[in-house]
Amino acid sequence: MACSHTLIFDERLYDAQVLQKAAYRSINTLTVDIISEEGRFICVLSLNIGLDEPAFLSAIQEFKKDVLDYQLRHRLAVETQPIKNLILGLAFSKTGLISE
Amino acid sequence: MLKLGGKIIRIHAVDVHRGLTLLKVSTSRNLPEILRREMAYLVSDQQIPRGFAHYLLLDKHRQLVELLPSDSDYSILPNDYSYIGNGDIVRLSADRQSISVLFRASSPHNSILVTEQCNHYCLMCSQPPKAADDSWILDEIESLIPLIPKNTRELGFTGGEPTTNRERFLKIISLTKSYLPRTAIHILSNGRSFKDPAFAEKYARIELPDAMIGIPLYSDDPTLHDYIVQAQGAFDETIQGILNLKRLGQKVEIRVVIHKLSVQRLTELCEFIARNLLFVDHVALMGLEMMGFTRANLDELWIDPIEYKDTLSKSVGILAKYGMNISVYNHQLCLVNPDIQPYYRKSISDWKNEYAPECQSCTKQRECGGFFASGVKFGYSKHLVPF
Amino acid sequence: MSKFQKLEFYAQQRPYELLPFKFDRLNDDEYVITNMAGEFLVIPVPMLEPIISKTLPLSSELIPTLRSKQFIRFTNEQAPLQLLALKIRTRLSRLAEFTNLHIFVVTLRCDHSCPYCQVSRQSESKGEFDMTTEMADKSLDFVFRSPNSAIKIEFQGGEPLLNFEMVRYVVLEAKKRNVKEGRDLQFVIATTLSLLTDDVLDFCKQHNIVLSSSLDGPLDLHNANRPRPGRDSHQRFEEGLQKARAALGYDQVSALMTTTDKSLPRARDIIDEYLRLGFDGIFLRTLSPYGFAIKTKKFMSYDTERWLEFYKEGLQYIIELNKSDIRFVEQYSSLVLTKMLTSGDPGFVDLMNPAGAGIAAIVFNYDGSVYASDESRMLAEMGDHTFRLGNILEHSYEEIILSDQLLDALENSFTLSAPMCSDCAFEPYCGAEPVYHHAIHKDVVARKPESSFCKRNMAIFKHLIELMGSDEQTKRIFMGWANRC
Repeated sequence: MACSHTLIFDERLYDAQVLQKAAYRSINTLTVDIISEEGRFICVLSLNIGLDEPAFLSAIQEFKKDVLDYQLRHRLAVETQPIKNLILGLAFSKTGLISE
Repeated sequence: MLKLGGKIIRIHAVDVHRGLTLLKVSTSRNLPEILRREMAYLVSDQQIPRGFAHYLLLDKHRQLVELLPSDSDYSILPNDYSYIGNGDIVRLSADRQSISVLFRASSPHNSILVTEQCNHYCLMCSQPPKAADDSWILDEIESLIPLIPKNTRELGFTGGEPTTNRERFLKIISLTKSYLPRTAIHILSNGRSFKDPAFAEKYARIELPDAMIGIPLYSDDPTLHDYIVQAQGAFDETIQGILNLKRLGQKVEIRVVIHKLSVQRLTELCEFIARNLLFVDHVALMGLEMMGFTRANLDELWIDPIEYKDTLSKSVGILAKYGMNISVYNHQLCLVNPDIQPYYRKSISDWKNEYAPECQSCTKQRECGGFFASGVKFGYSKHLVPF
Repeated sequence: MSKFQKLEFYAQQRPYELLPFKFDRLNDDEYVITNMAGEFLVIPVPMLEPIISKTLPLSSELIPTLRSKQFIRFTNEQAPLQLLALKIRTRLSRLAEFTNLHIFVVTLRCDHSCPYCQVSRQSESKGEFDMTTEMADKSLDFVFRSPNSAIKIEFQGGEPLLNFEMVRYVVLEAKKRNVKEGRDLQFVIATTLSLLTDDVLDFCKQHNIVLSSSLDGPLDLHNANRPRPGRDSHQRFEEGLQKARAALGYDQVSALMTTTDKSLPRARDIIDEYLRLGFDGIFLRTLSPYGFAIKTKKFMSYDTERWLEFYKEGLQYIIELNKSDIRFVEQYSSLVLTKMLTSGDPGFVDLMNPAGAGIAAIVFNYDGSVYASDESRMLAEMGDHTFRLGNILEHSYEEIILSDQLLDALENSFTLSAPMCSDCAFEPYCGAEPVYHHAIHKDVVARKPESSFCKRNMAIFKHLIELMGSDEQTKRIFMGWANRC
């Protein structure tokens, strides 16, 4: 029996990539179809074949948490990108740091 | 406790313009005349060789003054100075009123004060900083080092902050390498000068064969460390100094004084050291000295060691698991857990240590470091238990 | 008059800056955050967002620890950047050393016929499954092309002792060449110990060769896993063990277990057997999905969940032993803990990024084929030659080590570019496993949510972090393991 659930995300608050990552992460239990429409992302979650309803409810909850997590990761990554490059530059510089 | 400096009882200075302030002490009757001219003879009996630049007598031997060669410079010292011996180096003040013992040949723990200036103002500083220009000390050290016996095992440099005058510091260190190539050197510094890579390199280029820089770190929390040393930005610069020194292959020791403030995050500090500074050569965990500023800040600093003995054990345990070299100094044996034993050092400098009345019957007095004299006088644990 | 400033004077007034870090949910109540140096911190779920949006009050208890593990810094602080850079560099420095482990498969012949075996069952007598001296010579040329100052040559099979002449040849030839090369040369023979003779032991003693053997558990379990004509694998193992230890030294013989579905309910029994035989550690392994395992569907007969129960039970027992002052290590955990608690890299081929294939280890097969790893060889025995890098008799060092098969696999499986891995908080502890993922999922990257490699490792990472968080003594024990103290 196929289960399906729809979630709507405001485009101003969530990046498409974030939804895609959350969808990817849940690929073992769900498949997610994402459509963009009038400033909103519409996500249709379908349960993978062979899994039951409790698993579906659980997976939906996980998906929602994952969306929030990935959104936060995105913010963090953007903000720390420059300093990350600086640190890696230091790490690989020829003149610095202990060798061994 | 040994008295290292103070007033002379009476000095008979024939020629004050001779300008000899640093003198090496001799008890040898057979020195060649040419060497006697630069030295002081310590009189203890009626056989008094002639030709020395100066003669030293203890008060109890004052009757021997009459046997001195005529026209001799001499000083009569209080009996507190009876420990003075052959090879020691003394300074007679320019006004000939007082004496300082700068070097004791019979002691394993000689330390040279390089300056009293410091860019820190540690709450527990045992040698409170003074701002006045004391560069005359640097001049004196340059005269002192050539006099130090070549077979001296260890020599320390302290302050204040010894690297305050960078160029003079480097000069003294080079001089030490030159005159004392077989002596192990221990420099106490806050490490911040070495944040400057050029300075660190100049130090490294001297290539001291056996030297270690002891650098204090009081917390993994930069704010707490900066507060304890009373200097903004100290932690950040100290760490950079340590990294520069280690990059250049120089030996570094991390020193932690344990008191009520630093004990709060002692285990975190040791995890930090193990994770970030694994390559340092030694970690020293030390008890509080009741001298200097400590007494002014006692409320914030004093904690009975018995209260932190488990924290100490945990902290040492972390460093030990990471295979680091560890020593625990300046604690009484009855106030630490047995697991500290492999790292416990009987360490208080011989001119500082004593025992409390409670220790009379203790069977482990010999293995115990005892106390700082300042501790016996000003305060110590209420939980001493003789073994 | 001396003037001291108060603590507040030294406290930071302006907001902090974020340093790069990643996070994942540890459980319903907590996140774990990690950074490139492998530092980690467990925080309550509600704290994560304030930390990132910097609404966390500067007086918060979390601030000093966030600073000292380099998750945040205050403007102009240089030490956190230098320390991070140093730790990252230290962790990666092993890469520059390049290949250390060189496996010589001197024969496929074996006196055992284990159902999970990775290689074909060849009887003891067939001669054409042995390595030739020409191949050995060329392989040694290859070995010494590695810039690593430490070289380990490991003999595998089948049963290497069935072609001991070749083992002898390679050892002597390698040592001869090493006179000029001056490397730290180590030899290991992977053997069941069932065929040890005095001759073999003398040679091993003379050349400091270490033996690596298999012990699956107590007698009944071991023999069930490892059939042998005579049904006496365990007995022979035990005899061989005593003999080898007496001849070579107590700790010159190590044991590896293999897990089958029969092992899963018997964690404590297996560990007890290791204790009984005087070993100071065990490697709780999974069953790899190659060779006979898949052919006989042994691999499918249990799943990740059941293995994790086995692992957790075994680990708990081992921790109890440690708390009673018995020195005993779980080696897989130990490798992971090295990455969690130090800046070291244990150099374990299966848990490296970039993947250990070719970089950390390489295999010279009995037929002259060169493989990127042991798993690659297993795969080839099943008919999949994706990770066959070439032939030692036909191809040069450059052709092999720079082959597309190797470079593509390394590049494509690189965790920092892989979906889900690149964001994963546990990435610093994990590894790229291109061969495994290709074998099961036909893709060197694969979809990690479907990967039991991912599921298993993530569970292990979370479990170890939770154990350390809940019990100080366990954390202390783990520190010892991580530092091999």
